Amino acid sequence: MDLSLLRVELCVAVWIFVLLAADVFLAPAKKEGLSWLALAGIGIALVVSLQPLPIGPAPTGLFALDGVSHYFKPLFLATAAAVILMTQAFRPQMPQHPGPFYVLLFTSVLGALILSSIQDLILLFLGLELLTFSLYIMAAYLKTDGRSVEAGMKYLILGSVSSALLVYGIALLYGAVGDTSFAAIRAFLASGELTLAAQTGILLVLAGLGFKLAAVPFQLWLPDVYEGAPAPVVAFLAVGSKMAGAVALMRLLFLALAPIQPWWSPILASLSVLTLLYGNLGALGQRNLKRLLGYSSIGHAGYLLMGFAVGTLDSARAVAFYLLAYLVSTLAVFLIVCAATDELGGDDLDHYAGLSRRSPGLAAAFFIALLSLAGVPPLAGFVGKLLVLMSAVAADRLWLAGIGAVNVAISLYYYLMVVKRMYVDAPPSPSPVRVPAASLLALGALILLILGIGICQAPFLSRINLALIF
Amino acid sequence: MVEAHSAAAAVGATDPALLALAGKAAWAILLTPLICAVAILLVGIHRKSFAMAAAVGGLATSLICTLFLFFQASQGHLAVPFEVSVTWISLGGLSIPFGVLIDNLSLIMTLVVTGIGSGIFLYSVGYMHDDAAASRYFGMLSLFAFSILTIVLSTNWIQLFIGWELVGFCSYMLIGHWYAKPSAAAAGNKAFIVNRVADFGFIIGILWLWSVSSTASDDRTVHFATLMARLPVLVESGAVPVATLSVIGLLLFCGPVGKSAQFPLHVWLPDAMEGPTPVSALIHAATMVAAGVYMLCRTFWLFEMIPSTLNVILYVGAATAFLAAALGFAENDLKRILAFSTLSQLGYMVMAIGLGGPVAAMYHLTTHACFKALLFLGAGSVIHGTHEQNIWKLGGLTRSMRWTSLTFLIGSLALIGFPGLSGFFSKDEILVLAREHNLPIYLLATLTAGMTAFYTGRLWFVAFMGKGHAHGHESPPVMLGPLFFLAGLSVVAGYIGIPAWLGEHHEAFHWDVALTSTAAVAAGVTISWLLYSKRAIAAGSLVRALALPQSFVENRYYIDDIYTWYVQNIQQKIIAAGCAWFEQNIIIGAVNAVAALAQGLGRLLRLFQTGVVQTYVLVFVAGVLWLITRYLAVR
Repeated sequence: MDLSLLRVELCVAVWIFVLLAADVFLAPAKKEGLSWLALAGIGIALVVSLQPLPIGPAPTGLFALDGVSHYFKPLFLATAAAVILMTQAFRPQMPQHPGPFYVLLFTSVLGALILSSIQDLILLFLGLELLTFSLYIMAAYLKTDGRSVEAGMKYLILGSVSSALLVYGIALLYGAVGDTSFAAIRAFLASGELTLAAQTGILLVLAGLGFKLAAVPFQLWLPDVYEGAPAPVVAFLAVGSKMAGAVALMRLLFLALAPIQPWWSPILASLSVLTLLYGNLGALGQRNLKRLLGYSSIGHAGYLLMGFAVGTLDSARAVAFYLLAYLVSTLAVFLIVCAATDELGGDDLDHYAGLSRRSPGLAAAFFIALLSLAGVPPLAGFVGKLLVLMSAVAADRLWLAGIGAVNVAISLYYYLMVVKRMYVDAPPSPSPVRVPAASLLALGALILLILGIGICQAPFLSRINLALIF
Repeated sequence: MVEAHSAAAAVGATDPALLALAGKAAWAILLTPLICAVAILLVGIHRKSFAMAAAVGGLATSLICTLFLFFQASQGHLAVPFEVSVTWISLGGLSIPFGVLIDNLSLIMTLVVTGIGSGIFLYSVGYMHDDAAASRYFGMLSLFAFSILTIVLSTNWIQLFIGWELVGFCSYMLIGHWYAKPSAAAAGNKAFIVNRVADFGFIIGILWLWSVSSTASDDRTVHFATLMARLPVLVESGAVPVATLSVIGLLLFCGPVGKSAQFPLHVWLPDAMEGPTPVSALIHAATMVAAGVYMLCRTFWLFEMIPSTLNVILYVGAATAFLAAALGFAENDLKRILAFSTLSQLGYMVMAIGLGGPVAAMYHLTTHACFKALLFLGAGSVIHGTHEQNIWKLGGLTRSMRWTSLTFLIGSLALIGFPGLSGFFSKDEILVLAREHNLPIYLLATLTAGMTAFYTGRLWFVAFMGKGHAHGHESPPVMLGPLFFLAGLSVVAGYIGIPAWLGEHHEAFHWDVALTSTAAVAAGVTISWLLYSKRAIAAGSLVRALALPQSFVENRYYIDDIYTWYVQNIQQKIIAAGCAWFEQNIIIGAVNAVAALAQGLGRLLRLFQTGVVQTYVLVFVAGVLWLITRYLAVR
């Protein structure tokens, strides 16, 4: 067994114990330092994850360190780093003991890292559970806040239902194929057999992953959880967890289910349309920013599903780019939300009224990040949407691309409503919003990335084209 | 004319280390002004000295890099043309590079921009010293330098167009620098809008050319070098008919008609004189307005293939040269006379293109950039010293502003083509070309040379030697320095072998052409001397005798009036009103209906969101059942 394949995961796993030990031995007054320790751990793992891939064919087996996982692992780690900074900024709202929170975050990241390398249904299940279990607890981390506990509870119940269906699907698929590895499933499907048991199994697995991505009709938990859970946790749910679901789905579709693409393509296409419309229409008229972002995150899942539904190599690459753009934009939005919640007094849209007059820089950054989420050129989000829609057009799915384009217009409305609140309405108080320096630095870097990726997309595209080969 | 050195004689392999260095220098030429512009606009907007230092330093850096490349290329160490570029946008089927193309043509133009530009930047330090918004001015100047270099060094049509629009924007900002003055704000708008009209045709031409540029094996392209190799093949094989290419050529020519202010879109340039005078010198005389001519030279391989379009270019240029020179007769504003002269000289350059002589056009562009920048800076020095720009109120400047007058005289002599000065040689090239190809145009161009001498003489005799009362004081050394520098250039630019550098074998000197044009110039100067200095002929009786052409010229051929009438009566009352009605009643209605529909659907969907977890599980399971019943397929 070659342990070097697991180098990133090992880093994170070891650091879980470092954090646990530090949490035990550090004096209570010094526990603030834990966040920096956690950041250091992420930094080490990030450096390790950026090491070039070993030359040679990607190994077969449960777990692979190939181009896809090599592309996504640094993204998961960067997300975790941003979430740690958000937790720092969000501290006034958090309970006194931050130690367990970071341990849970690391466990969750470990699950996401594993998911980006899966080659087997068993590991798919393990990775998903590792990712989600910690999130249940993190969502309910504000023990004294009824909404947070409710969010954790709802997430747990719906998550359990989805896990049960997923594991049942895996069992059915194993029964049909006689193996759980992606290669074996692919060989089985390529032979032309598609038994009812296998179909049912695949549909159940898709439903389980649909829960992670928040695809309609498996999305009802999401707005409630987004509104109730602590903002840094929501950020990890929105970026880390969704991206992990997308990578797992990408690996499953392109490595295991490629031979029956004509069968699953229309399924994902209809899920995509439903998800797009539900997310974007539902977001209209929301009054809570986190809830609005929840609906918008459902809408983004629709675009990811559209890329999968098209099912070409180009569309998979478009999804990878879309996730990168979504990551930088969403993290920028949540950095602001986490940093501003305490001083603004809450996370309703009313609290953001007149932000441009209180903190012009913060409002401008928010503006750019929201426009990028909406897909306005020349920002990162625009290129992501453009690539996904173009891949749909190239594959002659004009109606799908058309619905995607209409949804861009709808989403622009509610994103701009937030902007209108910030720039037109009068502020409740004139005091500027103070943001910790580290968060400000990260925010600046993310805004630069939003602009940089949007204006100069060629290096990112070539990186993706090299990494994503199925 | 003397050939100073045999340019780029040895074209061969370049030393790799030198090539790498040259690539860096090429990027530095383009990007230094941009970095300075961003720095000034972001952090220097309230720090005037920083803004001045950054702007001058930035362009001087570009100039040094240009000189380095020019030296390496002229010594034959560096093989030109060479290109450095990055792929800026790469989407299936569309690839847009962004880069720097170094060849003899772009080097000479870059030298004009950075060399004359540096002088004008330095001059601005003196001229704008007391201006409250000097930082914005210098930020915009730096941005302009980046924009014009984007055009000059462009490797492709899209990059050129981006630079083209950026210079338009900078021109707008700088014409309207004193925007509190209504006439300056209006002039900025006019320049911007007239150029929009022209650029509309230009971009259609670019996109059309791109759309027909694919071959069986290769994708469509906007890249100059690729197009240059590919177009003749496409035309020969019949894939692109010459007629189509001619229309594309005409659309592309719309760009220069706007930017280089050719008839009938010349109307914005005289008004653009509302801007600070160094801006008039740099943008509206030496570089930006010449960008149209440069573009025609850069892409002459395209126009070469379409003689009918070249003919249109020839007549537009000749008409501009002649009509604008006549406008100079009746103008009383110092800067506007120079503006009409610029129009007329731009007409000469465009005419040279139409005659198939890009080298002659570039030659005249270069010498004109020197002496016209000199004349504008001289005019600026006069305005700075006297706060007066009506030529009849000026006078006796040869005594009160001795150095300014001396350099202005050198510039004037170069402009009219006084034998031995730069304008003489470059205008001669164009006249020789005209005589070879088109006799009527030759006669018109010679007549125009005489007219140039007349209005320039009038300007000199009235403003500098006349008896007006605004005397003023001499300008500071920081402003006089650039004047001497440019005066020196105006003298020597004819001797340094520009045509040879641009690759033309110099033909024997045409004594007959030179003598004829010199005679015309002498006649022009003599008449203006008799009228305005000696006053041997009463100007009043002449005006009465020429009442009809006089009123025509004073009203600038009524072209402005025609445009105003069109805008007020047709555009505003019919087209704009119709669009407004359509928007008020149809579009807004449809938008509101769609919005109401979306809001209603959203409200409907939120009914699912009960908050009761049992419902959620129910919907989840129902969804799974729906998937299974809907998609389970029996094979």
